[in-house]
Amino acid sequence: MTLPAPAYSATGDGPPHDNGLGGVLGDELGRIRAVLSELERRFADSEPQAGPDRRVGLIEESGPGEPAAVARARALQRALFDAGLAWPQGPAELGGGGRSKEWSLALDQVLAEFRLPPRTQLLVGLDIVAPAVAEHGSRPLQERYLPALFRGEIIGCQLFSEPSSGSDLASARATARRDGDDWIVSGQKVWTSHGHVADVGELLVRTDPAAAKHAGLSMFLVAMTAPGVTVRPLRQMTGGAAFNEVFLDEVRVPDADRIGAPGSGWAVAKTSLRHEREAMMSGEGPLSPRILSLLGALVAGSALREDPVVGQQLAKITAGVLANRALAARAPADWGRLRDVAGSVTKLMLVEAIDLIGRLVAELSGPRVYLDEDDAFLWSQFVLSAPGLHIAGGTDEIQRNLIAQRGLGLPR
Amino acid sequence: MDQEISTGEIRQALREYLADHDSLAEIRAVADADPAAGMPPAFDPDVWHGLVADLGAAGLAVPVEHGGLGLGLQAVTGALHEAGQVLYPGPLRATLAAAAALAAVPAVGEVGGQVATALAAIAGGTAIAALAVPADDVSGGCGVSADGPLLRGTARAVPHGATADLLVAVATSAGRPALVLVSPADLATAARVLRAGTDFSCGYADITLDGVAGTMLCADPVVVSSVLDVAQLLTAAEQVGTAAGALSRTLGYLKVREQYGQLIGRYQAVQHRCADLAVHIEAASALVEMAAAAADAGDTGLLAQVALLARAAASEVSLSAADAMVHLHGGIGFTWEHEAHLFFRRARSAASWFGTVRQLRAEAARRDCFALITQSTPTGPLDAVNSLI
Repeated sequence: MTLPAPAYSATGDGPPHDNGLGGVLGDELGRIRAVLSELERRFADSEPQAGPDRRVGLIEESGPGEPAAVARARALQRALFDAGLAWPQGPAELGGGGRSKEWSLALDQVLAEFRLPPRTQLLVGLDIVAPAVAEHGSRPLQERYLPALFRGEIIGCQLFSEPSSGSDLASARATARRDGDDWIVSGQKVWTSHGHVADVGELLVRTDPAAAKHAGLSMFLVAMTAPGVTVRPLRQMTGGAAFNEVFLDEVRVPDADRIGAPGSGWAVAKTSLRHEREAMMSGEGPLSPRILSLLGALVAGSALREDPVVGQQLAKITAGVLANRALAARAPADWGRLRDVAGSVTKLMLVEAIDLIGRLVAELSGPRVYLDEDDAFLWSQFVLSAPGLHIAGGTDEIQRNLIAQRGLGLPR
Repeated sequence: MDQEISTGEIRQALREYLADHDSLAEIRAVADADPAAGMPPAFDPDVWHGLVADLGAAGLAVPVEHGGLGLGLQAVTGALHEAGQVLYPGPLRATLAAAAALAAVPAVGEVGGQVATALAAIAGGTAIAALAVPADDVSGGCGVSADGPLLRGTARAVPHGATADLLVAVATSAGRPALVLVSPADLATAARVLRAGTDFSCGYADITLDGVAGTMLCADPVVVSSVLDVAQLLTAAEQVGTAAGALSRTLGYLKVREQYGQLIGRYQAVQHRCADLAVHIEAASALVEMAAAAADAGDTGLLAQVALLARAAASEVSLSAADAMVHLHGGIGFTWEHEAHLFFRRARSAASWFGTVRQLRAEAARRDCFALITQSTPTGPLDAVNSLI
């Protein structure tokens, strides 16, 4: 279970004017808006008009519309790549934009102005797998996978957790033994979001059973179609089934598909996990502008909007969201001793805001939030998704351990 | 200016200076003073003089033409974070808030001349300034009436009112808040009653202006309101510093104190309490930075919304951090000798002044802060965020 995405529904706010974005994007702002406006038109017909797909969800779902949704996501990703908008911070020689973090954040804001299909199924590959390949992978590995991921040609998933390795991820038992130029992998992985639609998995395995716990791990990219890979869906408490268990039975993986040196798997995993937490604050995360604008509509239409208790809730939610946005944009150097645990800080703030929003939504909707009438039912999935966010990407407790030990320097 | 001084440099200079001049010792001097000898001064004038003369701290946001450093509120809030971190008891926040108020007034005609004189006195270190705001509300006047030719009424519990040489007050004029200036000569004629404070460190005084001449600075509601918002923001910055200082000292203890044969900082219950504090300190700090950036960009609308949210977050986390400081030190933290109660007292006192958490959030909601996040492309906050990068 990993990256959340907004439902494909929004209130129809037209594109605004400059918003100060011109200062960052410069003359390109106009071109970018024109490209996105064209894409908005191109994808307008495919927007679900009603039914479960319109609900406000935080956790990925699957259903009958999934193949079409995946095709739309791939097509949008390709179009964004061709327009130079899919991989702003990537190196130019691999097809990235070579831009700054600031530019990329500004682009996220512009993207949020347009009603584009969600790229839910691609986000694990883009936000979690790709950063690991970019930071630890060999040049040939980067050339083979990164452009393909960012063009939407391949979908990535994450094969980290196991039935007996949840929070204690480094205790992973899936093994890989060397066989000539290949490795032979066996084991079981679980909570694999979008594993059923993925082409490639980022696979954490034990390559040296004799080594110390963390030192015996290595990371690979495995083709999800390779012989011996079996993917079985798991149904979530939301009712959807977008995460999976993955069985690996004597799967042959080329050594060329190793990310980082043998024994460095834990460092690679930490890179992915850090990016996973940080990506939760992105424009396609659970506090996306679209979800918040739906929340705004709910409040505006409520008879309780002037209620003093509701006012306290609104102020707390606003503060939480604003602080989280500001921290997501903060330069690493400005984090001081919390630099390495910035994603843990923002993730805890995120789930706090999600819980506050869930309570507000229930307060304003009353019983209608859980009954299928009018639009109130929109929010039931939001409420049902919230517990997942406290677990995904490392539980709240794990984030607090990380902050205390790696940030504040308290003893392990 | 060719080379603007960075906020980081300002903070570093203050941090080093305050490390050499023990603020807690200044507070102890008040806490342990003999009550029979009368109210002692709330701070050491030599330390204050050094801050002003050597570091230019009082004139951080005073325009260069009046002898200040001409920096913005990002520098001011950074400095106050450092001051709050060590519980500096001198009139830094009071003076900076009054200076910011004066600098916000449209400087025209005779008023302009008086403002210039006052700002120059502040930056030059010849005048300690204080700002009188309503002590227990987030808007409105402080109890002084500017309706007649002379000022009348009492500004209650003015922080550093005990030693202030000049006073900027939010008086009421025709039923509406208005900014007035009381010059050193006029303030000398006012009656002051010193108020002992639980935190020992703010030099509170009730200042009665019974027929004292003052200068009407500005009755523009937008300006007056912004001055109050800035006062909230500066308080928030200092409170976040206090929270960070409490946490940092607590962490130091958790890394040396052993029970059951191990460092108490290894216990998960203890670690998680500290982690939560760190998260909420960063959140409050981010809101302070956002509000300061908005103020420096001249976005008073955004300032009005975010400053109150920042202050509410800062009050809340400073209370939690001070609670944790006492508690995690155990019995020793509950002794008079230990510094924990000084943080606890400051946190309690600061969070009760000029609006409680509930009042601040209620007012932020009334100002429709929620629209900042529900408009699909919020202009304000994101501009502020961008300018922080």
